[in-house]
Amino acid sequence: MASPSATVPGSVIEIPPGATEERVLDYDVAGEIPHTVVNVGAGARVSILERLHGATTNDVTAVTEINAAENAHVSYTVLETVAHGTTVTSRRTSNAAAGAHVAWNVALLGHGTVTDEIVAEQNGGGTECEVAGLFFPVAREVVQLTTEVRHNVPHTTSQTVVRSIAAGRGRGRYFGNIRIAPHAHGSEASLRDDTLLIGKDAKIDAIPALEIAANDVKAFHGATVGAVDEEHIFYLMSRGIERDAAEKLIALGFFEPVVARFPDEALRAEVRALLEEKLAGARR
Amino acid sequence: MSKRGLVISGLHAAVDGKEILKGIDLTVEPGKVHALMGPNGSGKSTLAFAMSGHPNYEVQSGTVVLDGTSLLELSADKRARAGLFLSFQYPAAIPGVSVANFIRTARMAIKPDDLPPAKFRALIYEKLDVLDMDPAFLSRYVNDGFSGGEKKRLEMLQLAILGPKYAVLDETDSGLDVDALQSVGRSIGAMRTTDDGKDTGFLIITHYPRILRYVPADVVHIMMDGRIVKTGGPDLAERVEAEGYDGIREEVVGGVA
Repeated sequence: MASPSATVPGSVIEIPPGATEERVLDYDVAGEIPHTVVNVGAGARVSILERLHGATTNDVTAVTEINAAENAHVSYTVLETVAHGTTVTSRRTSNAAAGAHVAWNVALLGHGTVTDEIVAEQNGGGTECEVAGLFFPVAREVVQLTTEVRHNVPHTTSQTVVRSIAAGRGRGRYFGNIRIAPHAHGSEASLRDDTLLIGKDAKIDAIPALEIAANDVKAFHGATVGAVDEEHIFYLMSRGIERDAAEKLIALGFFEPVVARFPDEALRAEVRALLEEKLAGARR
Repeated sequence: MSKRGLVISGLHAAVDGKEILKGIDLTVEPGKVHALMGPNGSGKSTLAFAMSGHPNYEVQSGTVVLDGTSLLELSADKRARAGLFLSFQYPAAIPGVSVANFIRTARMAIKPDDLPPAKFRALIYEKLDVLDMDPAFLSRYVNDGFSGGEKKRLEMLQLAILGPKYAVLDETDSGLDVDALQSVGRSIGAMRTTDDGKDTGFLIITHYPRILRYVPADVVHIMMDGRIVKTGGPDLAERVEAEGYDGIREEVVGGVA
């Protein structure tokens, strides 16, 4: 059974081998230092939600380190909602031993200037890594997300899915990296990133980099960037829905494939509500 | 007090600068079924899109008036709220938006607050049943990965739920097997027995007459090269079935248009 959700300060979290736990880390950047080390014992299962919020004029540095032992299952979700004027730089790493499964879910939905980097090291055979990310800069918000999955040994798999929208003068940048080491044959990696721009002043750069040094691997990359499809808008408008509402429906739907990867329904509902809030405040 | 009806007068429309509709006059009365037939490329779908307000279709002259409301100055959503419905031949897929959410949003836009949620739910389930649709449909994304038949059924579900004053069905029968065609016919038939739907006027755009076996037409129009070249009763559709369009083309060639 999962232990009750608990709010703990940034520190070292030890999950004993075989245990099943859920944790919530609540970091108000005004007063707390969001540094976390999670050591997950062999075969343990843990789901952690990090809430990163608040306002400060100091530059904030967030650090997360996950060490997943053999066959551990780790789901780490970041819900960032810092205030306007706040600058946060995060560096997050995971180290997965043989058979471990690590899922990163990152929603960058605050109003500040946010740089978030995830590096997933796959150090044992049979490791699986899932990375799901979304961000939505509106007004003058600036968001940069980097994800990097490193296939260091043979027979490791990863799947990265990132969706982003920029509206108004929102600025975004996504670096999606996959590295497959020279001897990591039999590995499989996929990277999918899709971007929607609302209005002519919005901008997102998506820069993929696949470094594949091994033979006998499967690697996939797909990307799209563009405006909301006018045919979609017309279809919804032909059903009486106003243009703004049509755009909103389409934009929320656009994030759904990533939102659907977040681990529980209450959290998914919260993410959807935050996206709606962003859309309501978005200017073309 | 204006005359009721969907009244198209002298409509000229172009796509990419090329004139497709060369003066259409056609009136659909409340509660009546008109069929608009014609060979491929005659301009039938252009008429549907031009009336609905698709941005790629440029109306050059003429008017479309729905029960006294002039439509052509209105955006597509306002035309729908005035009571016009277009069933698309190729409806768009909208990933991430569920059928339930879409239909609820559309119904609220067209008929705000007229049904409490429980009654709305009952209405959807009733219409799903008539169309032989699985309720699991509601949680799927709009037209995303749908078969041709599923797309057409979803259009018919929207038609039944939105209860427009006038419905234009663009090639609803294309790509449907007989079972699906029967469900579509049943759904429209059921709609026309309700208080909401008994006055709905239909303009059924079709290449083949077979849909008219399931939804009998009161009036049949034949369109060729952007004009309506012949108008008649249900027997005209039978003639198309027997002779194809060539016989009619020969008859009208030389100035009947």
